[in-house]
Amino acid sequence: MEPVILRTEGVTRIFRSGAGEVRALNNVSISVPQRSLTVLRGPSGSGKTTLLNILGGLDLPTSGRAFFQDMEITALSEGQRDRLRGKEMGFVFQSVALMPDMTALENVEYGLRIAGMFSSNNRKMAEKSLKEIGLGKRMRHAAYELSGGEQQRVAIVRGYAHNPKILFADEPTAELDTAMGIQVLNIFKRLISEQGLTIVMTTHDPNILELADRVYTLSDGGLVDGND
Amino acid sequence: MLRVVIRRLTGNRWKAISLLAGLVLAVAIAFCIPVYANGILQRVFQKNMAESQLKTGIMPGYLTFEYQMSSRTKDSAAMVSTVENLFASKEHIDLPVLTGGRIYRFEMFDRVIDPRTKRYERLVFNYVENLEEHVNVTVGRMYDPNRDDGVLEVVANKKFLVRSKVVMNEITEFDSMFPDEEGIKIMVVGMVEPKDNHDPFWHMNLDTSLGTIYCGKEYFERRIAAEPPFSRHFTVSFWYRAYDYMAIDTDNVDLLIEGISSQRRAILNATGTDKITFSGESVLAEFQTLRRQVMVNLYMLVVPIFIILGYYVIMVANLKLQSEQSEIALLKSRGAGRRHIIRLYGIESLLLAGTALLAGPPLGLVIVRMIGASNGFLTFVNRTALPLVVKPVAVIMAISAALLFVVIMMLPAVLGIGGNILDTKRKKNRLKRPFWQRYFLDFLFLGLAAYSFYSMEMTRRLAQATGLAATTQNTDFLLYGASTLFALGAGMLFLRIYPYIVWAIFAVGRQIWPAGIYASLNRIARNRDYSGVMLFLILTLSVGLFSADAAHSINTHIENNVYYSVGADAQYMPRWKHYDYNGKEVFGRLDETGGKVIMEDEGVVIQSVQVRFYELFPEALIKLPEVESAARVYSQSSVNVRLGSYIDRDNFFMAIDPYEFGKTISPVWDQNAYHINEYLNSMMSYPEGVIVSRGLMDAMRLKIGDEINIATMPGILKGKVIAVVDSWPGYSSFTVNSKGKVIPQDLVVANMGALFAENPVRPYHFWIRKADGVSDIELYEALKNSDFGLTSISSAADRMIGEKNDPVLQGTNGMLSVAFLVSVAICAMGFMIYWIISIKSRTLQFGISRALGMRKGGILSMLVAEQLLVSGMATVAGVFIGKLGSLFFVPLLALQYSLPDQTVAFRMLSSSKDLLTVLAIMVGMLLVCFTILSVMAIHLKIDRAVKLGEE
Ligand SMILES: Nc1ncnc2c1ncn2[C@@H]1O[C@H](COP(=O)(O)OP(=O)(O)O)[C@@H](O)[C@H]1O
Ligand SMILES: [Mg+2]
Repeated sequence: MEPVILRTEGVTRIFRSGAGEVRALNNVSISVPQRSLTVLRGPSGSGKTTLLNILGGLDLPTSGRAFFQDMEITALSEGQRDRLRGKEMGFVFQSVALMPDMTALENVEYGLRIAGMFSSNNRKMAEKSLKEIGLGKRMRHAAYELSGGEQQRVAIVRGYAHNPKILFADEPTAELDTAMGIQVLNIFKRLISEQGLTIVMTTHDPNILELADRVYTLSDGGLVDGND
Repeated sequence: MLRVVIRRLTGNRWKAISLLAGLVLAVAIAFCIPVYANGILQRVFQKNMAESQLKTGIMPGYLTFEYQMSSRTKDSAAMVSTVENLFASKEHIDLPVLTGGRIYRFEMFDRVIDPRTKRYERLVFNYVENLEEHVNVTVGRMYDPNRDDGVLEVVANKKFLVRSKVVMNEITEFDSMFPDEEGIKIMVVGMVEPKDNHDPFWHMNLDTSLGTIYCGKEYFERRIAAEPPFSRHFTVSFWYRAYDYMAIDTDNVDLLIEGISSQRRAILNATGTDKITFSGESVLAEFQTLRRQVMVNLYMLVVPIFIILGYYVIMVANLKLQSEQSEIALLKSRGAGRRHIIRLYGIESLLLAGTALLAGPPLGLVIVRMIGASNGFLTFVNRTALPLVVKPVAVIMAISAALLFVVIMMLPAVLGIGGNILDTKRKKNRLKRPFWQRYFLDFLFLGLAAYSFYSMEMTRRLAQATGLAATTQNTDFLLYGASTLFALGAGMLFLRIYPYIVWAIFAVGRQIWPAGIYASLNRIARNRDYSGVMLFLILTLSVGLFSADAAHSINTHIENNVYYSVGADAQYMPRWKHYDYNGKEVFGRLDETGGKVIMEDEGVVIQSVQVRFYELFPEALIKLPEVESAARVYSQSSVNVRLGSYIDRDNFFMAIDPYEFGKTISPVWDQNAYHINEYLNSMMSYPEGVIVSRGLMDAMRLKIGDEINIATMPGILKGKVIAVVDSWPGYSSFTVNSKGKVIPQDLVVANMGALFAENPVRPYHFWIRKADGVSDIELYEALKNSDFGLTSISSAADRMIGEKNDPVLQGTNGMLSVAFLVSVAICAMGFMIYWIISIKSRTLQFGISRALGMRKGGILSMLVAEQLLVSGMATVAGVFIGKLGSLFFVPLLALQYSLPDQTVAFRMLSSSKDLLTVLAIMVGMLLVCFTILSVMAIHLKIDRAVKLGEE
């Protein structure tokens, strides 16, 4: 088995809002092996996105720790987390989050720029990836002109264009039809095998579970037994 | 429904308040104009009426009619009663009557007083109703009408007793002028004089050169009934009536003017003559003109303010509409039709307008106070407050403004709802060009502005050439309207091009831009949402700056003009003593030539004596602590200048002592090629040198070094032309000739020493520079009590006060100040609202960028770049366009200031203070916005920000 690249130790995240508090995650410990497709599943509101955000350093847990390789993410400064995120991680958000005024290609380039990896070579790679994912004709259209599915695919390409070690994908196939969903998963698989990428994704789709190397099931912020 | 509307308004509090602020301002300004105009006009009117009384000595509202009987007058008695009735009627002039009456004058007797020369004297009888009320008997007694020894008792004024050979209390016999009539025996029993010189009765100049005698009623009635017809003797009759002029106000002026002319027509019809006067009638007519000027001026100045407010309201209403789209979509999904939603917005708008109608007028009154106190651009003084009378027209204006803004406010909703803005595809609209680009409004506006500029420039050139004031009414409108159109058009044109510029910057550095700047450039190059707020900033800034420049130029011009035409702090004419050729002082009136003194008594020339004057020198004046320096200046207009056989008329001649002159004149902004001191220096080096104006140089084809002859009152002066000037202190290039026509006049300046070396001394002025802190009154007193005495003084400060009190200028300054303040305030408000409302969309983008690993510094650079590219560039463009507009349009203000008394040319001048104010405000706003956005960016919760996209 590959070494663990990402893990949490008893992560709890409590949201305090006006009236009371929401325990979005309750003492969750998971580990993600390198070069794996790890799937988080569970009903809506079970805490999948929250967990993903903590793993990606976008949010901090109320208690517990998260590690990237040997580095404790939860102990890093905000700037260090920014850098880590820009370099080693990629994100595909549940909400399709593209820069609305940029074209598909520019959105991908923008990710590269932030990661400090913009070069004409990478740009060509980005174009190739967009073509692969069926956006060859649309890549010079502004993001807001694209359909939901198209935007999702752009977001996916942006997520891995800068060759991160990990790609977080929050329900990446939700907006896609089955065929396209399968194609995305094929790409994921290929990225794992060819580039050694690790992918952590959330999904509802039972079909995907079959392709997963590891599945964690969440319910009400807690891990349901019988994982692994 | 109302509940829904109110809930929506309170829910959208900030936008509703912002809209309301715009509406309140609009209502307040619309309301303040009639109130201000009424107040200022009332004040000016009363002042002018009072001044007219001071100037003419006649109380305004004094109606007179003079009827000359002739042999054609068939029935004098009937005529008298006709006129009587016409005068008594209130049909034409309906004002309270203070007093009135009639005077009849008839002459039919004379007598020879010197048989050798056949000199004779004539009796002129006046019959005055109730004479006792108007005169005091100073010597003797009143006539006794009942004397029955065939002698007519009369009273006379002093002049008669002086002029006539008739002796008081002696019976004198006169013959009839008509051979078929008998003579008369009269006896002057008393001397009378006016009881009260202010009595309107005396306004009518009854006195003849022969003096006046008054007869009693009985004699008059006997005469009128006598045969042959009375009209033979009865030469003139006067009617007079004094109306209470305090009852004349700005409201009944038109009615009164109409009434006077219909009265005149009626009298003309009845009598065939219209020798009817109404004292103060010219004041009334001038007032009508002034009122038109004031009103037009105010309404034209308000145009830019309303354009700005309108734009602001549309912008905010549009932002509000956009933020309410999901709500509207919800309403629609519940089955609400387009009409229903528009009605919702309609009620909302009316509600806001209603609130504005309540809040606007009080603010309007505050603005009226402010304008009334304005003494220059953004300078206010403590004047007596204007009378604040709210006439219905003010309310109508306020309501009209409110309704206009309801319509403006509804525009985005009416155009937007049901259209594609609400479609899910609305995003596509973003790339669509703004409507003004699609309809080429920029070119249209610029075209209109250019056309107006062209036509006004032509008028200006014409006015400059002829010295005639242009009819300012239309030019006012064109001026302020066109400059605003120019700002709009130029702003739009700039925004048409701007995205390409940004795109070019973006493209050039595509490879090297850091991510934050890349994102900003990209957004601004692509997204036309910005053009709205940019145009807004450009418009408000350029209107603000134009207002500042216009006001600054006007005020400086007026100040310069006063300083230039007075030339120094004061022009002072001593009380010149005249001496005859034996060195004895002579008293009397100086004649037109300035060389003779006329002595007279009771209007009769007794003697005319050649006199001479002894030169006065400034040293005596400079000793006065009130006087800093003084210079002798001899000046004379309509002087002929000759070169060879060519004579040029109508020149203004001035003789000066260059050294003192230079020390005394006001430091004015000069329009000549060199500093004035250089001209003065060369005059000192060449005592026989003269300086001429360019006009004379051209007209006479003079060359430097030509010798010209100048025919001055003291005598012919020969001078060598040493320099040419365009302007000179105390010289105006136009003057009004004796026929009241405006004509150009040229200038010749010579050395005083040269003038009086050969020629006799004639009275001249002293120009004076006051010592620091000396008031006009102190100077006046000091000069009056000095050895020189004082005949007259005109002071620059005094003229300045007069100019500054001009209601048109005051209104202009006030409105321009308001325009400036409103544009700056609205600009700040619009700016804030725009950025605060657009925060939401920024949050998502910051979130994405941060999630992708951008550090906070990157976000800040994104913000800086965006503020610079949007607000910063709009500021630069606004300042540039505003200045450009000033450059084109401010000089056209000369149209209003090209009257003959304008000694300096109108120039565009700007005050860097105003520009700095504007820039400081802009920088302040940028900083505030930047701070708000940065704080927001720094405290951004990335995970939450990204979630926003889920909506
Ligand atoms: N920022 C937040 N503030 C308050 N509650 C939150 C916040 N984010 C998530 N939650 C709550 O935490 C729980 C888990 O949410 P989430 O992780 O988004 O679930 P999932 O992604 O599995 O649908 C939900 O009950 C949600 O309402
Ligand atoms: Mg989720």
